[in-house]
Amino acid sequence: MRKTNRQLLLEWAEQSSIDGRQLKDALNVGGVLPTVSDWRGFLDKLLLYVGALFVASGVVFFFAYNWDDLGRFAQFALVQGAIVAALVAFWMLGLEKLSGKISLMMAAIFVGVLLALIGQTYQTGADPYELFTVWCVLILPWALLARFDVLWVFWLLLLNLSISLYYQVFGGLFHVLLGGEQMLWILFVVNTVALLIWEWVVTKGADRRKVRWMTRLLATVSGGLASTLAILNLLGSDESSFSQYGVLAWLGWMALAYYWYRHVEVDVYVLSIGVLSVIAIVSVFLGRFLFSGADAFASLLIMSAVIIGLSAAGAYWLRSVVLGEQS
Amino acid sequence: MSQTLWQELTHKGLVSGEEPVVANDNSPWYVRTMLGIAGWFGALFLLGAVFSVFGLLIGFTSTAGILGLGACLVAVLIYRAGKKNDFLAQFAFAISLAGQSLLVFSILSELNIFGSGDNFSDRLRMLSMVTICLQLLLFFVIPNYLHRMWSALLITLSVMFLMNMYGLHAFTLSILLAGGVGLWLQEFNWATLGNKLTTPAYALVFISVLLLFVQTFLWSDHQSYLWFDSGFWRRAFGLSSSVDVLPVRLFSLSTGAVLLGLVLVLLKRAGNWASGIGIAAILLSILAVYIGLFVPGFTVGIILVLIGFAHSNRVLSGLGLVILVVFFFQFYYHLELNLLQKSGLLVASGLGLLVVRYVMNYVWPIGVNKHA
Repeated sequence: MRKTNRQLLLEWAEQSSIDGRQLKDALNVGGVLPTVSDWRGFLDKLLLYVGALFVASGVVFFFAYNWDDLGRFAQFALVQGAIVAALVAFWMLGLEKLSGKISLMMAAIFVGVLLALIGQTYQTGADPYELFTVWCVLILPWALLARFDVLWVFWLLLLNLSISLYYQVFGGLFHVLLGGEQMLWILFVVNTVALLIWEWVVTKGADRRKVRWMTRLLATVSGGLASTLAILNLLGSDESSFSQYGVLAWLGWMALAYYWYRHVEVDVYVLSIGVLSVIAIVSVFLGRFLFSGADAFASLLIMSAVIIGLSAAGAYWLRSVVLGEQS
Repeated sequence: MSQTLWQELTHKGLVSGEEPVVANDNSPWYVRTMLGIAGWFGALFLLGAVFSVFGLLIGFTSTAGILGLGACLVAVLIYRAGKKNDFLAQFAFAISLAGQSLLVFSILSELNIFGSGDNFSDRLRMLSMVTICLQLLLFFVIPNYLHRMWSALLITLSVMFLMNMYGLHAFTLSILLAGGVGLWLQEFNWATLGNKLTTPAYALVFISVLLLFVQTFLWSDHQSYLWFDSGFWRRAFGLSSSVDVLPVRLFSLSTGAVLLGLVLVLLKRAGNWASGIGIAAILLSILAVYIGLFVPGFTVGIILVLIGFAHSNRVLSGLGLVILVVFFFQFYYHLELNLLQKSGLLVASGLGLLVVRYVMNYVWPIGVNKHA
């Protein structure tokens, strides 16, 4: 990874390649030290964000205090008014501006508040998963329209919550399969499909550097779920459930991730996730055999050596990938 | 990027000659995090293996101590032999932790730390001093960033404990924070020290923040400090026990003194601290100290934000911002006011900040370069 000017200058100073007396000037040349304008801009943003946060919190507390005294229609008018205000702001600011996208995101959040108010006022008896599912469906057109990655993350979060809450209520399909495991499978499929769609969209033209965090977030969730399924497969003994396919799913995910993030669009972060996953799965696999009868001291020693060896090998490989990209 | 920067520095006469070879051991943070997680798991298993034979060592504590020292020595040798080798670094870290555990086990047994008697506090103090000496030695002989961070954290924790036990509990946080800020302010003057400076600097800051959170959230009474010796001043100087429980205000004022000191140093660094902007900055700092009397975390947050921004250190400035927000909302949450009064106070505070911003835009518009 390319080093920042700060890292380079401090490294050169440590090597005495820059005279200590010249370091401050060098830091100024490298744009590391904040100028007076930078300080001014920093103070401005700090006062603006903290001030706005306090005012917004105060408004929320005010409505919380008076909420019970407001009539039903006043409560609905307030929330719906907030949605309309956010949409008007979005319309005025436009889709291209960040502030416009944030306004649309605020409107999406207020939709959830409205749904909660409906559930509370009319006592519909709906389960929480129904609220989140309806919320997801209602704001999907806005998410498609905004093309705003933060809003997509929010939408995916709602979808994941809906699925998780559903399985809290219903233990599984016809109560035949284990609810928890089935939930993990569905979450894995949903988040992996999201990652695939995201990669397809990005290859169509978005600047990958700007949306890298979204790729990494999706890969982390998807990879984490694949690893969990593999571990359940290794530790489980029930051969009648989906658990026996956990390792296969993990191997498939790893193969695809290696191909895409090593040879097509190199992303060392995702490769690091893969390395950590390999270490975890191999450790669980080994542990299953070592701790079922062998001497505790020898088992622990072998596990330690394997983990340390794998992590060192993984770091060596990742570093070679980084160097290969830099050259 | 490094080619352009070196050329620019050469052009300005700040450096000469060929550009130095950039060391490639600065892996991205996620690779280091992955290594750290895996390394810790490996170390835990190794420690488990070591602990599994502890039963054999009970009664042979001196043997355990010698084995521990030997393991630490082996770790030092491995570190020095394979400085850029990741496998050896991980392995040596695990060996070092195992050796330190054996040493601690030996010391705990020799001191009979959990035995009966009145001098439990003295034994804990002895353990802390031994920890400091051991970790100081390892800090200087082991040339590895992760291990130095570990040693620095343990040293700072032990120093914090000793300060609390020797009656300085009301000032521990501010003294540790002052130490951390002092080191960060010297980051560029002492750049040749490299991670020998940054690791203790981070450790002092992190332990200060930890102490702040523990004192605020784990003890509702702010006058209860972490592991402080309530009878120290009475035994040492014959002072009444009421002196032991020093007012919270002294703690806040001492932290405020650190903030004022930092602002003065930064203004002096900028070259013109007697100007209008400089005086405004000092006045704002005094206001911040006053606010800190009611919200101690506010002062700590401001200190970290300022030092982080001044040194382009996102870890410090990010940590400072989180502390600011968390402690302000914690303050409002615990106010004994109803929601209406709290809402009024919040809106007034927010508007006050926005008014300050408006005045600043009038007095010092963005884009106008004034001396500060």
